[in-house]
Amino acid sequence: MSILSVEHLESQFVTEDGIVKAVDDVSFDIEENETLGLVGESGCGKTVLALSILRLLSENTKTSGIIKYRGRDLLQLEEDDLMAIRGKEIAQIFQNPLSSLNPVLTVGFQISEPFMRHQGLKRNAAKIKAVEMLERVRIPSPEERAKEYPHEFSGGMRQRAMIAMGLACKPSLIIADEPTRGLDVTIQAQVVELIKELIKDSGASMLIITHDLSLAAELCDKIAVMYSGEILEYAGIQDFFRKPAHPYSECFLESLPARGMKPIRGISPSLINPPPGCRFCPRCDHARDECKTTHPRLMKVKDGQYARCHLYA
Amino acid sequence: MLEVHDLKKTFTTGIINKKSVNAVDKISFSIQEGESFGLVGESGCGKTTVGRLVLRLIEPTGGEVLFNGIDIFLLDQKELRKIRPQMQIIFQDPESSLHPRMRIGDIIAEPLKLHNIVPKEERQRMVRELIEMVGLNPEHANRYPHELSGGQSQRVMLARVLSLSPKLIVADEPTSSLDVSVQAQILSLLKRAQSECHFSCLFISHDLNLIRNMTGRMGVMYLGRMVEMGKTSDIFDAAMHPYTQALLSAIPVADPNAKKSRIILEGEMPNPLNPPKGCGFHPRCRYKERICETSEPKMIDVGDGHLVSCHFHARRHET
Repeated sequence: MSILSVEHLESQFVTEDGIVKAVDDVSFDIEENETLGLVGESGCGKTVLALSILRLLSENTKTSGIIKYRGRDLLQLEEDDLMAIRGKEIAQIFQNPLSSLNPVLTVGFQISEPFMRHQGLKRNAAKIKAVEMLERVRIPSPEERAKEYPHEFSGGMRQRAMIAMGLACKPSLIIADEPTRGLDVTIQAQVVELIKELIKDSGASMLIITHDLSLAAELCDKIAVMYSGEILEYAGIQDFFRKPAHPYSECFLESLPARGMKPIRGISPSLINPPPGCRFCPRCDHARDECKTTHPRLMKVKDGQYARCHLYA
Repeated sequence: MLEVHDLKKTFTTGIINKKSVNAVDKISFSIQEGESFGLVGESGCGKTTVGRLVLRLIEPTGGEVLFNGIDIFLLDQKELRKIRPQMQIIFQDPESSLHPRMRIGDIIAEPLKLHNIVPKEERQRMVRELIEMVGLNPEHANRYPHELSGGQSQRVMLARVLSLSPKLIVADEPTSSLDVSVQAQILSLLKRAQSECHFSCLFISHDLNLIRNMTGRMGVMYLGRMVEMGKTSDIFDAAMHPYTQALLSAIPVADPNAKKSRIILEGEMPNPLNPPKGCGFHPRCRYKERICETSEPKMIDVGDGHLVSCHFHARRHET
């Protein structure tokens, strides 16, 4: 059974210029022990999607659809019930740890918080656990480091502290939003190795949100490609990197410096009034007349691979 | 075209307990006409400072920068201003580099006006040509910077820089804030402009994949020093310095089947306020020996202009 099943999820913001459909009819499943990579470029809606799962968006967002975690719809839960799931069963590792960590609390205290809240540990016992977590994410001299504040940590160490906090209560699902953004390559390599090892040890499922295809290639089992609020392709990791089905996936891969650095012409459409047909159509080399007028459904390409493209009708 | 000798920049911090940081320490390199030279390194290694020193946007502590044989550090303000149109920079963050209250057309026309490149009557025509050249629409001329996307803003920067027909462009992480598909647009534009206008380029980036695509020769910096330098292809094929080797092995690859023997560096870059003695890299180096802790390695030429600063190679080269 899927651990997380998202059906027809929509998230909209009301702005002065009109309604922004940041997430538009998105459905996907994550199985036990599986890592799904949600990839896309800036503004495609991937972070909004991640935040809507644990209902972390602000009040002015309208979210509809079904988000089933182990059979319970998270969108229908009372706030108290949801609090019991957040951080305990589903953990979120945010991008930009400097703004996600509280600057006036020690790192050790922040990591010990979930232990106190969800496991009912006393402060001292929770502190010992926090030091253990810091050690697990390989922060040198964890006992002293636990007493320091976030600004005393380097970028790589802050990211590790965020990971330690996320993993504290052994969650069964981890949502990681750009876990390596802003880190130098050698530090990024350290963090990726760490995440790999921790997923293997804990057996948790994971949703990784990233713009970095190489990070996805390294960590994920399946890939969902997002563009302009929609999922355009859904595929196993091997199929996606060997033979992407959607023209956008293909262009996205070819624009990587290591794969020819071929530019995609034009820019992503506005999320306020997206084109009526296929949203990638104005930039697509395969575009036909029907692409301009008819919005494509997600079509099956082969077992386990789907693309939102008229080519596969 | 451009020669840099023993360039040095020391920043001091603190008021009472003054401490100094050698942000750039005795860096030397040269760039030929029409050539692209890449400078790679992690944050805080001093690569951006080198870019600024080369254009004398900040004053150096020591060393010289020869631009077509002229030492730019010896010029007075007036002479410097005369030479400035020939040496231009593209900054990392295009959105904050454009004046928010000026229209795009005026932003592009400004350098033409300042340096009196073309007569007034022809300015508008030239702006139109430049706008077209960098792939913007003529209607963009009347817009303001906040109406443009990151990629479009960087096109405006490029138009502005190209308007002066510079001999040297310093591109400091020109695409680090852009999506890959837009990055590819901007860089292919830069490449095309270079093949048409034959300027030299100092390309500064932390992204090795980009350096490989964009440059013919490159240098690797660590803690303010150049640790390896040579043809880009030579360095990618046979990196000599242990730091370069680790850096190359850490390049992310978009292929789930890529076989990787990654060299994971222990720890992080030391605090530049308190750099290690001897070779700056020794606390993280796999091949560290006693000499590395005490004495600073010299740059040696291992052949074909491939330079490396490492005791290990120095000894092997001698024997």
